[in-house]
Amino acid sequence: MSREEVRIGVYVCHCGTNIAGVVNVEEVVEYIKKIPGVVVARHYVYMCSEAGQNLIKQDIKEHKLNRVVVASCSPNLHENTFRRAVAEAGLNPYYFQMANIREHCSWVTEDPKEATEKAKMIVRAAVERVKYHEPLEKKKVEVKDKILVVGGGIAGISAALVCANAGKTVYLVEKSPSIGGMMSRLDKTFPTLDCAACILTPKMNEVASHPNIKLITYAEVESVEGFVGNFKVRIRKKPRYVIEDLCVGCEKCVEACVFKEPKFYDEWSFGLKKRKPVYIPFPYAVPRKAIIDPESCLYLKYGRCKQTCVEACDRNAIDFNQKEEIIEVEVGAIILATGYKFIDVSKLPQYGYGKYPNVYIAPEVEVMLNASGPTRGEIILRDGRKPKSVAIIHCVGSRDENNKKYCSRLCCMAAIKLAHLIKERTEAEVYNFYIDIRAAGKGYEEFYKRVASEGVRFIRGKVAEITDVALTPEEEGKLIVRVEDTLAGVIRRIPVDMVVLMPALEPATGVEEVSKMFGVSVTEDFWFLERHPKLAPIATFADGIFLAGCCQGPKDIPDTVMQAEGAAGDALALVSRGYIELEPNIVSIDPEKCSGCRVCVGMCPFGALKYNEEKGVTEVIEALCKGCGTCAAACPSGAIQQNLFKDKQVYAEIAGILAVGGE
Amino acid sequence: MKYAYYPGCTLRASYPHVDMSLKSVFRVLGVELVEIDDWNCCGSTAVENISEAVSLALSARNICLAAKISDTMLTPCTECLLQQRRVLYIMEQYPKVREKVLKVLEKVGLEWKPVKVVHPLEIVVNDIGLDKVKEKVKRDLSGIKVVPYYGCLITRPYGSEHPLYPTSMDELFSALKAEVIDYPLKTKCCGATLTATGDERGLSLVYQLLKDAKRRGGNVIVVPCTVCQFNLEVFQDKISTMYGENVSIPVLYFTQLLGLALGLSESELGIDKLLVPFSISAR
Repeated sequence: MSREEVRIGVYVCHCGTNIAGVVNVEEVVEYIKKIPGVVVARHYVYMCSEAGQNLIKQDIKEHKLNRVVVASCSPNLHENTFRRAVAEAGLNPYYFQMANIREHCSWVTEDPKEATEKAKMIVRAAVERVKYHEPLEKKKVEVKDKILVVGGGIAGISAALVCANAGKTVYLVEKSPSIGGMMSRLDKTFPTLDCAACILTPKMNEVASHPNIKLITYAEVESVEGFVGNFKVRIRKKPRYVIEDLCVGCEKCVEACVFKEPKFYDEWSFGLKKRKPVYIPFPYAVPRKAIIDPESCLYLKYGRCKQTCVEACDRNAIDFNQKEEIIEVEVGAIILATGYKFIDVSKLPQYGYGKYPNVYIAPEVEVMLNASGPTRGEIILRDGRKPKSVAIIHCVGSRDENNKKYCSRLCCMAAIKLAHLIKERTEAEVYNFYIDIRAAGKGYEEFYKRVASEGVRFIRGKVAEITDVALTPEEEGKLIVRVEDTLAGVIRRIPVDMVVLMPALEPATGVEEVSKMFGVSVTEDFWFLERHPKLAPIATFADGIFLAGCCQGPKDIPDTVMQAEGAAGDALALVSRGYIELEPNIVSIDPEKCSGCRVCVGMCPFGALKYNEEKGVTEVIEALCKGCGTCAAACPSGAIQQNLFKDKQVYAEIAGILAVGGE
Repeated sequence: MKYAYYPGCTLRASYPHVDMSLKSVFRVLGVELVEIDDWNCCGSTAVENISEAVSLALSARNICLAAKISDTMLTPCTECLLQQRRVLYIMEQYPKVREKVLKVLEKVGLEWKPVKVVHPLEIVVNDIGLDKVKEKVKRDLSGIKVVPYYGCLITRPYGSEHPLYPTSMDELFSALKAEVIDYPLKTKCCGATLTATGDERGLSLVYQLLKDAKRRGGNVIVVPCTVCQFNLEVFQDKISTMYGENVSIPVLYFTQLLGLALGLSESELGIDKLLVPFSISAR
């Protein structure tokens, strides 16, 4: 390239004493000044400060600089700061190079002499490299201003409402026939004992009636194409066999069903009550529309039925010919809120679930306590008795080397809440068996203390087994909890009428397919992986896809709502701007040099390379390229060059490092 | 199917009828057992207090001899089974102990060659398979209420099933159409050697097992372990007197009951030698 005269300004930062305490910055400046092309070299106490940036701007004007090097910290911290300063002075921001002499030098090199020599090398490498920099422009890509939310539990609901209230169109897709999720089963919530339905149903109804929310229930995402800002999503809506626009939820069809008694497994109550083939999921379901289950409906399964439901419906809402529907939407951002499920505790035979009828899992008891549940809020055992003593077992499968190693986080507080509610409604003696009580939330410890003072017993020890083998007359007819009381140092056998297990949480069914479909990474336990555990707990490694609620890891309602509204914020920030800027450090392929071998195609982790059959060469989808450089390194013919990492730039950098060593 | 057979002292001396039933059943099921030539003690006894290397080498020697016959060794006695599996584990995991054992083996001119050690229940359920067993049934066990009791040695720590809730015998006897009782005490302690002194602490454990088996309506307890069979059988009269409650119930090694289903006679299975009599006709 025909180059104008290169005029470089070099700025060595003290970073207080972080750098200058070890590196002799004056010596570095004196050394750098002698390199051909360097017009100005200075050191300053804080280059990132406004004064430091002004220094650069002034010099660019006064000395007609056309390249800038700042030797300071990691580019992760301040590369953008300095690029902006350079741009403000009228120079292309990519005529800038940062030399890291803090993390790579002063922080890790003890001897000041060695550190100073090393700093010289690092700065010289940057100076040699910046000579070959080229002006680059960020590409702008339009962003669709609609948002997809997957999952209609409290996480999805909260996220959808924030986005919709900001004026954006939201598609809320829910797998089951009603939104509401796990929270819709609860009676009260800890630690305030708020009525769950009272705080959840207004939100559910708001979702249904919000002009900006398109609620798609009984549906699943089938495929996702495209990239951040421009996702094309196909949603498969299963037939309800009831026309939603006509149904008013009067339940006449349910009453008229040929099955006089409900006899099928009811999903909402975890099977605690039964339902008919035509049913409304629960009294405050949204949408409150009937649904016909093809697995149990005689007409849909065998083609033979009197169809009394059709007769009963005076709005002609029942349609046995309804077919599956494919809905295609284009969105700029996606929020995943796919939630969790409980582990199958019958795989832990020592707890007797499925064997002893009076052993329950916590979600069953939640439904039982719910006024809309099968017992209308009463605690009644499967044999019709009211329990006089109840054992609540914490950490069933959680914090367990043989099952889930992690803490499921919400069970301690849920168990304490259940203890309070059970005691309140039955006056039973209630025992909590715990390993540690984890009550780290606002008002949680206070709630724990309150429930303990109400007379709920807390016994510290991991329960060994639940058995019905009585050793004494008092144990006859009871379930006996065998446990080592680790505070008293004794083995106890405690006979009770009812046992409540707090099962570990695990990601919802189908999480593997969802992770593949959306290109979202998972942890070893299949929770979705956030971009950074502390500083980016909502974003994922897939740009434009955000996480809300338990799909990212177990959390209680307050934390779920916080994350969901945060996810909405992130999604809104993305779609509201209307465009995204792509970093220009992407690759380009020289079609003259490309042999079409396609070595690079398989290596690209982002699917950004596509082989063009017609032209016989590979091409780059610029919006997908993340600038990782894998393909550029792999290309056998050197056809792939990456902006900011072109061969000549990298070689110059190496030469810069070696030159110091040689002198 | 050919297995190197290690009877051990228990089957040779105290439980020859288990040995009989085992051979009879495997003959019908087409399994060839070749007894290990010149086998010795498994080393699970007091030897370890004198020399760890010798106690381990005793089983290591048997394993080396078994390797000459088959790559799988059959050990019905669960004490021996545990010791042999322990030796295999130690030889793999602890190089220093391994060196010591190899030196002992060298003295008798043997080269260490590990084999797989299996229990007869594992052969029936895993190697032969329940479908094949069902084909050979001559009279099913319908009407018999079977209490499967597994004990600890077969399940922990080297067992192939759930350590607290194994189900292989449940499945086996269900396949033979017996009424299998879900027995929550199936892996609880039988008292092991605590009963040897006649101490109540040991006998109370046996009492719980027998009492609960009867309470649940069992006609017969089946075991895969000779230690369990001994404890559950031998002290029944004493326990009945001690607790003033009749706890009498027959205790069969699992191949004895399986053998009846396969059409073998009570004498071929050593059932006539049981301390608490059992007869399939008197169900």
